[in-house]
Amino acid sequence: MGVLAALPTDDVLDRVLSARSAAFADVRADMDAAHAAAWAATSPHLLELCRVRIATMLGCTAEAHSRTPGTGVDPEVLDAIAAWPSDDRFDDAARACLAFAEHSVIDVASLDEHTVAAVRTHLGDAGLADFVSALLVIEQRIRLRTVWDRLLTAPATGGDR
Amino acid sequence: MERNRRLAPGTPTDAALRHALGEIAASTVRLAHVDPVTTEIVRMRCAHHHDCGT
Repeated sequence: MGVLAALPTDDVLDRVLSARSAAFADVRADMDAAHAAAWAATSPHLLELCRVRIATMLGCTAEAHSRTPGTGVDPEVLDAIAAWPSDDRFDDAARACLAFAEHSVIDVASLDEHTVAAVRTHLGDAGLADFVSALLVIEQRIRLRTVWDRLLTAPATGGDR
Repeated sequence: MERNRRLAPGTPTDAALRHALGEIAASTVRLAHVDPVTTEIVRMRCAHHHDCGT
């Protein structure tokens, strides 16, 4: 595990993108804008559940243990995220979105009609489209930082690769 | 593989999010720091992600 693993994702992005090269500054700014837009475009409650589930699936401890302010999700529910199929604290909308998120992480190209339709039932067509885009942003951030956690093993000030 | 369209053409989506995603793609493509092998691996992964057979 690298030295970045314990840092919040924003700090990881700062150290890898902002601090390393001015050429990455616009990428960092665009990632921030997309992240903000993702949370604004869909239900923060549902997105927080999916964020934590994706983080646990990808083994990203820092993201799995972090909590996004203002989502209204009970922290104890997030602690039990893996139990969503059988835990009564997860309603049908949450289950539909979590099933979609899990399948998306495993193999997005094989998402079946039933899984997609279940999300559409709760969010509608436009809501489905925005939810998918928001998931993309969240998953991208987690995957990027997870890769960097493993690749960049030295502090930025000490000449990480 | 042919699939049925899952969203009707013209389905309204969040303009800010759509714009932001486009900006990430644009700023990433402008980078000149990624080696050709990594670029090709990412391209193939993205093609799979988008069901693009070309």
